[in-house]
Amino acid sequence: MMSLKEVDLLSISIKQYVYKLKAYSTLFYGLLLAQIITLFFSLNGISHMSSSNGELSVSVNSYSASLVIVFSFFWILFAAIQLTTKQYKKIENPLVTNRISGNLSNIGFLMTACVFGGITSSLVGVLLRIIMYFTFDRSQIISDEFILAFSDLLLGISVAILYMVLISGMGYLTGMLTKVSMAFVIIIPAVIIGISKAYADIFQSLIKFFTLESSLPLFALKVIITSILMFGVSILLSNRGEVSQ
Amino acid sequence: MSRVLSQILLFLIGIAIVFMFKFKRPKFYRPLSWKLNVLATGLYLGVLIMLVPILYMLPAKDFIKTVESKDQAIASSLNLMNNLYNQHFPTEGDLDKLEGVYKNSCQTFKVDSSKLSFDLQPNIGNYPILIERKDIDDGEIDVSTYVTAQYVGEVNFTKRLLPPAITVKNGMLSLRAPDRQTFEFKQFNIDFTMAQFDNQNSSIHEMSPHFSNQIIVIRVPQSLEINRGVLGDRIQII
Repeated sequence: MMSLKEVDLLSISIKQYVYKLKAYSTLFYGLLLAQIITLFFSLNGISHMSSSNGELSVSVNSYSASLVIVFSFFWILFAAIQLTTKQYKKIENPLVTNRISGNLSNIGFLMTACVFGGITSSLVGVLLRIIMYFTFDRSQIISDEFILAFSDLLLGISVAILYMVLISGMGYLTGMLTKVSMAFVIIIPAVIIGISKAYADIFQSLIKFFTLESSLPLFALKVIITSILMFGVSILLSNRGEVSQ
Repeated sequence: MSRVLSQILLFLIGIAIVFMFKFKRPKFYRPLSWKLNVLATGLYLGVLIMLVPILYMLPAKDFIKTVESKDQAIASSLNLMNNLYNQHFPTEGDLDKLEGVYKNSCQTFKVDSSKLSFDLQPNIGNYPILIERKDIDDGEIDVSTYVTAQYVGEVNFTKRLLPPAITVKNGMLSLRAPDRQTFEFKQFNIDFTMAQFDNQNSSIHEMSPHFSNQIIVIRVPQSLEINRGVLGDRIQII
């Protein structure tokens, strides 16, 4: 009986996931737009250095696709928050659903979005290199880092996906908290700003916990555990909301 | 200025697109079936994936290569300038052997007078001028210019530096500085997602420049009289 229930939950969640993948597919246009706009910004360079000694001047323009990845992170954050809003919940109405299957299908959709966003945001770096190759004077391009090792590309994709999973967990939890009480709309930014100002060390340690991790397996473990915790708390909050309603 | 304008333009385009979607949402979204959305996103992903093999097929021969032995070259150059400051002058043969020091011109002039005087342009810079007497009177003045290591970040562009223009006429050696040279480089930094695991503290490389010095070595016939004039401190006979 128990296993039958679990299978039902899983199959319902998968059906909802497929349904939501179709229903929320317009969300991906936001990502495409963000990536294309930031690609154009990135073509202007992210930093500029110039120096002169009177007889000659040297200038170095630095380029990177990091901005594209950062904007993709913003996109997944807002997408995760949006999934918890009433407007998106309405899409579930035609389906036979409960809170858990609804959450699982949402998480499934977010994971798909993370994989898509992680792959495309890293590959825009390849597009940026190709545009630079054909439009810039190649005798000015420094080969170091321009020639991207395939292993580095795969590493970049994996890390971008993991960061997006982490950020989507944060966004989903934030959305759920604001569903529990609208007061969290003010409390969450206040807490973040407060901790960053009053307990800057703790706040920085929290960020460094992820950003300074130089071992990929450890980083993946940290992200997966933190994300499971955040999504788990989100599901619990969602169930609590169901009882209170 | 053009960069600022282009960024403002892009920002405005972004705002316009966002507003267009916001207010025209029903007209835009309703006709868009999920199939069309999947097709558009799949096409986008497909094009990006197709670019990966294209990137690896592009020839990289025109690019600027970085070097590993920068520190040694700079140390050697600084040591040379320090020796010159302390009146320890190298011969042309010594300069040819030094790492990081590059001979960027070599000219020979016929002697047209029994004396050699100097005319240095005021903005020529503090080029040390070393005069070496030959063992013979061959009636020729050999002028070589050397340049010490010139780097920006890990890029060695010493060989791109132009030498000063040198002429010898009526016993007067004239030095004219080349026109102001401008070098532009484009550095690609790997994404922070890769840099975090690539043993790099920052995704932005240190690109501070190390400026070079030019040294002029003049080899004169044994009997040629040298008139250093008021420039005695800059012209050294070795």
